[in-house]
Amino acid sequence: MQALILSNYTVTTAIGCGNQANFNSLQQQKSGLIPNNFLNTELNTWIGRINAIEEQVLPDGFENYQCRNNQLAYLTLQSDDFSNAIEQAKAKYDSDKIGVFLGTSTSGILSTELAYAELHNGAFLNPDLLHFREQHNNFSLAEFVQKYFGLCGPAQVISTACSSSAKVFATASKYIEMGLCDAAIVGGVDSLCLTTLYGFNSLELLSDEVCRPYDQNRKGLSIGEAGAFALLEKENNEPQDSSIYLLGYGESSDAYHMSSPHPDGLGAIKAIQSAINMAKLSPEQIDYVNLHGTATPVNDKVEDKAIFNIFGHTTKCSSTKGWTGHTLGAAGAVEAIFSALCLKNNFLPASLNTQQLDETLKSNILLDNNSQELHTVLSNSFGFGGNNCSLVFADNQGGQI
Amino acid sequence: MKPIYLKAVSIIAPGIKNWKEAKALFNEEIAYEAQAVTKKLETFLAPNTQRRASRNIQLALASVQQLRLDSPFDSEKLLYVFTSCNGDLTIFHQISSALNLPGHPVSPTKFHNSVHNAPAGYTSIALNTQSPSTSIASFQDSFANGLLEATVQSLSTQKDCLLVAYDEIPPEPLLSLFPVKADFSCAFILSTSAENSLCRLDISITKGQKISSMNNSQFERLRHCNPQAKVIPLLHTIACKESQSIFMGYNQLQLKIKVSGFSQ
Repeated sequence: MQALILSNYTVTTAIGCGNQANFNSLQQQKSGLIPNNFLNTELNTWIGRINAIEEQVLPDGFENYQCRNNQLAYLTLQSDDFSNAIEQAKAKYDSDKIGVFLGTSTSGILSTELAYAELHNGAFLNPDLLHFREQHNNFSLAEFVQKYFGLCGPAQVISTACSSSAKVFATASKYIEMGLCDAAIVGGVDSLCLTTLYGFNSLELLSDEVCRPYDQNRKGLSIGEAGAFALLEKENNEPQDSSIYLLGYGESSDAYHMSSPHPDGLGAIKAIQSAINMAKLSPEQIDYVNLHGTATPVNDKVEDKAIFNIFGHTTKCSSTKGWTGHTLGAAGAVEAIFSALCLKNNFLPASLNTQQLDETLKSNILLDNNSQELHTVLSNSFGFGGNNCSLVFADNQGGQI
Repeated sequence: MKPIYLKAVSIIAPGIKNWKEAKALFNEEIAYEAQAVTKKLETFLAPNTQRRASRNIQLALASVQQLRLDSPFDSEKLLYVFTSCNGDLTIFHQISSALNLPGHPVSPTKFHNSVHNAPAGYTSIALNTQSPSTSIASFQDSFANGLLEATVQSLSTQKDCLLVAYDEIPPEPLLSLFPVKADFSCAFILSTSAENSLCRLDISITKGQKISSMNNSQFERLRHCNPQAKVIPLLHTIACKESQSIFMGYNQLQLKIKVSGFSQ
């Protein structure tokens, strides 16, 4: 593939709104996880909740789109001059040649879930109050973002569970390669809702303490919510020393089980290997791996097998879910932006909350933050249904750009 | 974009059991009778898995199964695009109802089947393929979006791509918010090679064009029975081997599908 520039990017998670706030928390090892206080869920778990979501009011004309997920999208779009970057892109390209490819797993279904609570009172789902297309539907996120920026080109929501917003980078890259887009807004937004909290609880995958990726005593996930966006372009008039590039992607299926990864990590290996091959790099040339690292006993064990198989025990790896929680359909985009922030700042984050490394795991897991020269990062995202996606990012010294 | 070639088609729609029947119907060799899609659908799932699979999952897999029977393919050599307007509203309804019961008894199986990519997951498992799949949503224009996505994937990789578009009749109370009159499922195999193809498709994004509709009122009703049934004018053109362009809504624009190069 032709390397694509991330000409602007922004991330909002439980550790902050915007790149600087997120990076500061990464540097200070300040987790955003708190004991669950979401609505009246009463689940004994920890969550990565963003308080500023609830005060967001969508702009005039978007009243029907008002729901937790689009509020989070709107909040995310307000940082890092992202909206201004889109306006600049609109001046450069036709508005039908700027694509919108976004990932979400649950969109605004919280609105419908809450409406169901009223059903037992003999009420019905009132179409004047519940806007199915604009709130519940998966495409709502892309439709809101596309209309908000006044764009009319290709738009799509990818919903492949926890790999959704990693895959958007691959899809955008293909549309740009085919000449259907000159540039693309990619990203992911997923917000807390009852289905995911009680659903992961039913699978006994929630930890009753903060998530501890790769820890000997890891007990499962902490669910988080987040939004992350990037503007991808094939060329940039002013490439700068700080430019970050997408160099490759790899996609695969496990073909094993709906909610458990392939025991030998075969799908993960295929995705990682494909991404590295596309980037024209060898495993030794990857400086850091941002792991999927959800902190469930099985997920980390299998990802470790895949990582060790390809990288051995030298390449530095960590999971950043100890800061943000597992942000599901937003995780791929969040960790893509974290990868960009790491590259820009020559910074490798620790695997936060990991106290005692699982001795049976063989990868080189960072237990403390590192500052070192960093040119290439691989980021992993694996989802239910055995859907895998790995991405390779680099700075301008990190490969054949 | 370069042309893409249609290798195989399958369809499950009210009054249409398969592509062979659709061809006879659209060529007016047999009369159309609008009948609900049968409850029992043949898929490639093991009986136990099939029993637990939702209607939406079965709908998606049933049109893939028809392709397997009509035009056997090597599952490892294909890419997979699944497109659905809403995902699984029956499972959403069941989970949301359970969330309001004492103890919130959400079924773990229903939860992992609730993901938008559940049909893709089941397909990769049952057909034992590690090939990539994507699962997308574009509300009312999900078919056009899926067709473009499958074309982009095939052209950018030079691999054949299986497109599956499906949506069920949702249960009440969601039906009143999203009125779908019939179940619908349709699958294509697209290829960059003309060999053994049914026809050639030249696909482009355009604007200011009128969406294609059907002159026959029964087929026009069929086109409106489900958002995925917006593909009916394209299927009619392919079945009748008419070289012409079909326009489908594509978000705020239109997708132009120029159909030509029919096999004899």
